[in-house]
Amino acid sequence: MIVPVRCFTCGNLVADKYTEFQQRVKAGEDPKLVLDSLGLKRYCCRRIMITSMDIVDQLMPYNEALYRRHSEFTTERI
Amino acid sequence: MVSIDVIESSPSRLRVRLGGVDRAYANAIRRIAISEVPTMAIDDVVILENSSVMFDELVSHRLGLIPLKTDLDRYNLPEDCDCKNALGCPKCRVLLVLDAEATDRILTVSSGDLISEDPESKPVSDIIPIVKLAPGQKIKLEAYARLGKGSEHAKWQPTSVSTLIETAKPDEFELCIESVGSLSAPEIFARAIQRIQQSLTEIAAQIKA
Repeated sequence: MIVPVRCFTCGNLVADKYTEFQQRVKAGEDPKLVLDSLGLKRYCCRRIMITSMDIVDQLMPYNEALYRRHSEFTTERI
Repeated sequence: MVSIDVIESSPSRLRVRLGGVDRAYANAIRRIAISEVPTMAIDDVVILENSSVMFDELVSHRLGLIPLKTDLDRYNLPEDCDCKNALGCPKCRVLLVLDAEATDRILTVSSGDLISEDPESKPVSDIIPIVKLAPGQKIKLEAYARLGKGSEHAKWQPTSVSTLIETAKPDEFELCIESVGSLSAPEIFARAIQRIQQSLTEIAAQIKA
């Protein structure tokens, strides 16, 4: 759904580093070096960063469209 | 002769070399650092409104996992608190409020949006995402944080790493404690030792009685 707050295995906080990780990897940096600079040393925390995916983003457009349609509908009626 | 050499010490990580101690005692420090040193975490959540795509349970679980800065001298464990109230008192619980609404675009509600009653007990980081809201969606909740122990739920664990390594010398161990941010690593270590002492005095008193 959305990034896990903590690492499943060790309990380290990982959610606050996810946005930065995504941005830097998309900008073309080597994921390995980004993970190192974020201070994620153990492979349990590193796999969370590499493998998690925000599925909420895929559900969001539906709600956005629904909201848009709803507001159109209410303005039409007035 | 007991000796402690600090190899590395920072708020997030502590490495010490314990000399002249029993393996059992060194291991007790390690275990107590994980499960008996209390920290603050959200435990009760009252959801007043949630029209987001995420379920109430999922949101409250995420809230529970957010580490909160803890001042152990300021708060009591609910079972030790003298208020004896199921709802708690200002000495054993903190109220955090979250109220967010997305208007024209997708909004990521993060831990920084949580407004705490006590400015000292706030989330460790302000950029932990809690929910994402599509336009028109709302979330409004009250969260009650309290002290708890790792033995009850992993969200109260102050450590992410707590390891004991044997060195080449006999009766010498290397203890490594890594903090999740709610308490500093040296404080976890100090509190763990205090906790052992407390348990031992309790046992001694029980034997005498």
